[in-house]
Amino acid sequence: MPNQNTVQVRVYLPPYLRRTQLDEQGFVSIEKGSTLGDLFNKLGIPFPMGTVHLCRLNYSKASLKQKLEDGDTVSFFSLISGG
Amino acid sequence: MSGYMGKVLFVDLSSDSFEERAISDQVYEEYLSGVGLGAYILNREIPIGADPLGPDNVLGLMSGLLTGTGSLLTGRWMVVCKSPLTGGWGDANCGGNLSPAIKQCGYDGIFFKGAAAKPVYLVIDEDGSPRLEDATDLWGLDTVETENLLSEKHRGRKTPAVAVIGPAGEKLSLIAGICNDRGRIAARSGVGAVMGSKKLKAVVLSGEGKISCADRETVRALSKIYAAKVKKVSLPRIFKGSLLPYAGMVMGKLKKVTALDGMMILVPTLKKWGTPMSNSLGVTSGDLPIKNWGGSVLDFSRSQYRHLNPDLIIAREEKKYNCYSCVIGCGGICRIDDIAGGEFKETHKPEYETCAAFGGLLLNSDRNSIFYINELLNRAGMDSISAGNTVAFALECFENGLLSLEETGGLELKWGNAEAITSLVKKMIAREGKVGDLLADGVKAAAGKLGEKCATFAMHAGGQEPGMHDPRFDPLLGLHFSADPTPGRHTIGCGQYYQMMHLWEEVSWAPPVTGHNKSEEYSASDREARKGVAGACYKQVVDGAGGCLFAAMSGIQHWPLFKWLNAATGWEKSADQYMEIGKRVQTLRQLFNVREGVQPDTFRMPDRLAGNPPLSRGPLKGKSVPIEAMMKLYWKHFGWDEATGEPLAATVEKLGL
Repeated sequence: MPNQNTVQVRVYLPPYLRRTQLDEQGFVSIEKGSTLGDLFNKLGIPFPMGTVHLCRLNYSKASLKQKLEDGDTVSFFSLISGG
Repeated sequence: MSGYMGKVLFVDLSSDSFEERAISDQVYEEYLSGVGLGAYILNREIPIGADPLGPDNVLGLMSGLLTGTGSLLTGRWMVVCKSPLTGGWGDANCGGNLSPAIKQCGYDGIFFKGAAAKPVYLVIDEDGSPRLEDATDLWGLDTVETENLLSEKHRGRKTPAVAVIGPAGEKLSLIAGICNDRGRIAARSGVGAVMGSKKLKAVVLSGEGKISCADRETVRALSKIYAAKVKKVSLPRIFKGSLLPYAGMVMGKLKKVTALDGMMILVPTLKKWGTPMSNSLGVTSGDLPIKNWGGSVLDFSRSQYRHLNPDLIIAREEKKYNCYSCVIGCGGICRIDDIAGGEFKETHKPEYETCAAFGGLLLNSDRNSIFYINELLNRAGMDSISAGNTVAFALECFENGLLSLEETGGLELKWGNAEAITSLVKKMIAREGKVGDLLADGVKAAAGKLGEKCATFAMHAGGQEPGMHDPRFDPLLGLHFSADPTPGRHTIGCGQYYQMMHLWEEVSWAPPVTGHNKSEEYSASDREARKGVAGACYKQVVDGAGGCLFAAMSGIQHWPLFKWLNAATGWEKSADQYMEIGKRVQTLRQLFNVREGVQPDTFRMPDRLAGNPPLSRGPLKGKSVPIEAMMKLYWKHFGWDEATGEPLAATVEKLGL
């Protein structure tokens, strides 16, 4: 549950990754001050160093060290749609 | 009045006369522009039972409400008429440059009544005055030749926008369309045959009028945000076309249905490859129909589909092509002067639909033949989806001895025989010989002439050939093939579109996609029916605005259609109110069919597409779609009769129809 110590980040995962950390609207609550790398860990994303090249924070390139703000959007390139 | 022009032009081709008609603000508030306004007018103007190829039919060229307001990817134009292909409501949709030109001439739509005694074309000059000119010398020319001649002849302060039919429309082929910008085609519903029946060769628009907008600053601010995102999301270099078949294999095995970000999945691939991105991905996932919808990747293997790798398609691309107000640019102009003896210098990049219809559907891996056929069809003004399905039908008839070598004029119509396929297309365009005339009007007409034995090979829904996506891969697509007032259309909706559109974020009744099992899509359920209704209603709003389906698939959270509409018009409508307009337009399209005696249940897609019986191998092995049950639930959620598909009196009254 979001509270004053957390930020809400919208995450669009590729269809083949597990969504157990996302709520029904596709948001993740994570501690204030967390980085993109922390989010990857929370989501259980494998090979974060490699995956970050396929990821965009607010549709811009970002590093694993970049801090997340409330309302940020994290999304991934994928050739796989559907499901 | 803002955003729309508030009037339409009627051209009576029988009497060479013109009439401007004002349209009230209330009509736009209830139907928008585009297809909605077209449906409103044609329901009043076309006499019940009119011959689609007779003078009583009315043909409308429509712009979109948002076209020219500063919004993005809202430059589609649409054609409306009674369809000679289905006998009911007909419309078609096209990119290019005609949509703003219609509004710059002062109109939201131009309607043609009657029929000319000899070939003519319409000119609207820079000052806005319309006239008909003799087109006798143009009759017989292809679409590109005609457009080039007319553009040059009527070039003034600006180059005019030109809509034109080719030989297919002139010869009243029921699968003929209307072209603009040298090969972009409003292909479906047989609209080109209607234009040909009126002896109307072309429309040349040079108007320079202004297009109003209530709050252009807000419209532009929204556009700026969308354009910035599109600019930033370019596919990393590691994504090669050779990876796409593997992506397709994974797609075919996904167990969950999840919400997707079209801005990151669809837009970057469209920027890089355009629609051919789906070529090989579609083969391995099961989305792309193989061997007249009866085969699978096991019949069209890697050694064949690799020739349709989109990297090889764009290798011929000399420049990108953007429709009006588009910042994605999925189109391209390709060099083909080394094909077929250099007959043509260039062609628009063949769309996925054309690559599939003349590739896997026919087991044809000759890429050059697809480029060549693409240009042949664009110049003829013939629908490549319908033409490909019709050739596939002929190949299966030939295989089963229902078409003889004598009847084909000596063509060995074997699967994958690119030379014979190309020759057959030429015959269809020219109605040459017995086989050309037999197939020129599409699958249903040809099957009707060949008799009952070939009925199982005839893939059409209500007379219209289906788009190149397999309902056994995406059952909701089959619902729209079967239940839309213009059947067989892949552009109305499907499960994948819905996953990307995110309608549930703004529309109160649109079901969210929250990770349900894929297997649930293969059952008739209230949720799937509501997804179908939402997709269909939204499509009518998109068409009213002149919007692009790919933009819609980038997601409502990115492509702010409802916000643009409010800013452009000054209205303050909610998303639900816009969807109510979509429901009104969709119901009116259905009512048109009912009044014409077209029973909605006759649009059901063929058993083969529904997986009855299911395929025994390949990625769609064992898949079947309970289409009748899905149609009934869809009708019910629209407020239409569950048994017949006819809109209920209470629904008609509620929608004010």
